[in-house]
Amino acid sequence: MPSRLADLFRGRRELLLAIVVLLACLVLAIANPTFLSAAHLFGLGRSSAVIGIMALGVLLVLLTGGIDVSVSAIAVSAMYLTVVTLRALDFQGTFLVAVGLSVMIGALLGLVNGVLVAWLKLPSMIVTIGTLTLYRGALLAFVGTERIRQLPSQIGDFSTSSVFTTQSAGRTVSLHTAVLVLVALAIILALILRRVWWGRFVYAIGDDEEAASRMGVPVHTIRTGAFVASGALAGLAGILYAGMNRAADPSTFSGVELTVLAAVVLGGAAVAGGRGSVLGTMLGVVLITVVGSSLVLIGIPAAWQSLFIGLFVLLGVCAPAIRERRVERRRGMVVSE
Amino acid sequence: MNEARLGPRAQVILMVALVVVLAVSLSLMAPDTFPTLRNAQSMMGQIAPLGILALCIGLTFLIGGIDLSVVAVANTAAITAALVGTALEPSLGGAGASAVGVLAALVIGLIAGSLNGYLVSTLRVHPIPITLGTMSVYMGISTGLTQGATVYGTGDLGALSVMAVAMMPLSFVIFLLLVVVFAVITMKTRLGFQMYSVGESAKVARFARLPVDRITMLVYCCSGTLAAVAGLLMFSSTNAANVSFAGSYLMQAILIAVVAGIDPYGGAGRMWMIIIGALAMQELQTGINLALGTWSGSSFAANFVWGVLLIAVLGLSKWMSTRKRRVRKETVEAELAPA
Repeated sequence: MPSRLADLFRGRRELLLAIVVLLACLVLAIANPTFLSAAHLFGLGRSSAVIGIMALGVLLVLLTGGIDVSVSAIAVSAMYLTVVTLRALDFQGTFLVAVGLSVMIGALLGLVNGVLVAWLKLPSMIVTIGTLTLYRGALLAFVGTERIRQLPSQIGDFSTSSVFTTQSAGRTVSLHTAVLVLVALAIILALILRRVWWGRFVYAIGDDEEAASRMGVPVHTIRTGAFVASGALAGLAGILYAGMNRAADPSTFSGVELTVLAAVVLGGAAVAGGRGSVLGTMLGVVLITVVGSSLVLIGIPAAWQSLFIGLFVLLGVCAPAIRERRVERRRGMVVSE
Repeated sequence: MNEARLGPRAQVILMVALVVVLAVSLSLMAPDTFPTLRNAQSMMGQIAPLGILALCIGLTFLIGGIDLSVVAVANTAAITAALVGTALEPSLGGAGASAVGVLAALVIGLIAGSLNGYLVSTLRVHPIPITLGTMSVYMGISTGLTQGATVYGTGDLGALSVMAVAMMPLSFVIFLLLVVVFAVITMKTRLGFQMYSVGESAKVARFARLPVDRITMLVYCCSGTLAAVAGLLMFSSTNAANVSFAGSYLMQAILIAVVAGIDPYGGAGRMWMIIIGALAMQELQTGINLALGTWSGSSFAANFVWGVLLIAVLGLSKWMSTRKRRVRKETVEAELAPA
């Protein structure tokens, strides 16, 4: 029976995750009925939007066989630099300009990572740990440490923008636009990864770089592109976050890179590259957000949150590895000692 | 002792020269404060915990891995020592309670390290996600236990950083001893040679019938226990422990290991160079403090400098080793070419 159960889920990480998400929701809903209220569900959507957008970028980098832990620093740098610049120019135009600027700054910072990793062939983990401290240090030292509450008007207006409004418990609650942005981006990325040739190249590189390069895949360009995309998405997430909270704080997002990485790894992306899907990542984001924001609902103090994130990472990494080892042992592929 | 195993000799000369040049120029910059015994002692006291963390990173680098959980382990160990020490003080008295606290902290370090080692070696998963995950787990446990608050000890451990041996703080002597022990193990013993082999290629080592899993396990256990020692030294100097202490130490420890010429891909490097690397880092820190003075952003600017340095040094050593390999290949080809 256990083996048949395992067979059912073999290669269907997304199905397993979806069931876990549903189970978690069920348990939480029974423990505390307010969980299923529209207000709480929309709140979950709102808080998963920022993590989700960053996770899409990290997924891309992971697929090429790299790792990017600098997304949180890129997000906060792009966001704060954009707000400071627009305030200095006394800009009052549309929010899209702020978004464009922030995405561009993010892409530029991602490009630095990409060039260092792809062209100079430095280990991506150490490079991005370096740029993580570097970007944040530079931001706090040379740009500013103060929290800006007076955002240019259009950025602040974003906090109330919504795609869908309903009545819940006598209050008007609305689904935030950022959720729509996340869904749209996820669909676009999934289509690119499945249908477009350079989307397929991402998997090819992660699977076997040598084979990909002999096939004529422009390995360096694709790998750099993944880091640029990761930076751009982080920039987008940063400015959306600032808009949603009507404030730009240069000390936000510290440690968020771990949550993002946890979501992506939980979603089935292999750190060695070549394996992972957008759907899985999105389910990972939902699971992390649901559990993270609901711990308090069922009476566990928020201080334990990073324990759960860590356990999620370990679960996401170890579960497939245990299965792989078992298969290898059955086939006699393990060199015993 | 060939260069293929230890890395380029130029790196050693470069680093020793850097330490000397920095010492001389800092003495010229601040003739009243820098070249004094007091300053040297305070610098040594600061080097000790960071240097031991760099030793953890260096050892795991050597076998081609990395232990990102060291700072979390150090903080967890320090918190354990504080909590156990405070809880036992009424019954055992100050010194006894501290001794039990130290023991408990070391055991916690060993357990944390063996969990890392078990997951990395038995499951054969890449150490980056594993140690990131365990880092978060250890941090979560100690945040949960302390609710993020700072815990204080009984004060009996302060001797570690105050007591002087041959005019050096005891903590620095501990650091030197640990580095020497691991330098001897890696350079002179069979185990050390096997560690280099595993780092060069775990697959080849496995086919050569080396106990790869056992060596991996052992190295991560050492790393965890050493991290606990570093945590105890941090705790002894301030008598306070908090999960968020030493936030920038992970990056600085990696920087020291890279600067010391230990190859992040494994299989090359000299352990004793950790001492030189740590000295250079501490001198740079002092230099930054001198140059920036009382500017409020100086600690952030220091982080910026560490980030730039890490990438620059990594790039430089990569360039040096590829050039070395190319030169070696050309010499071999020239020798083999028909005359």
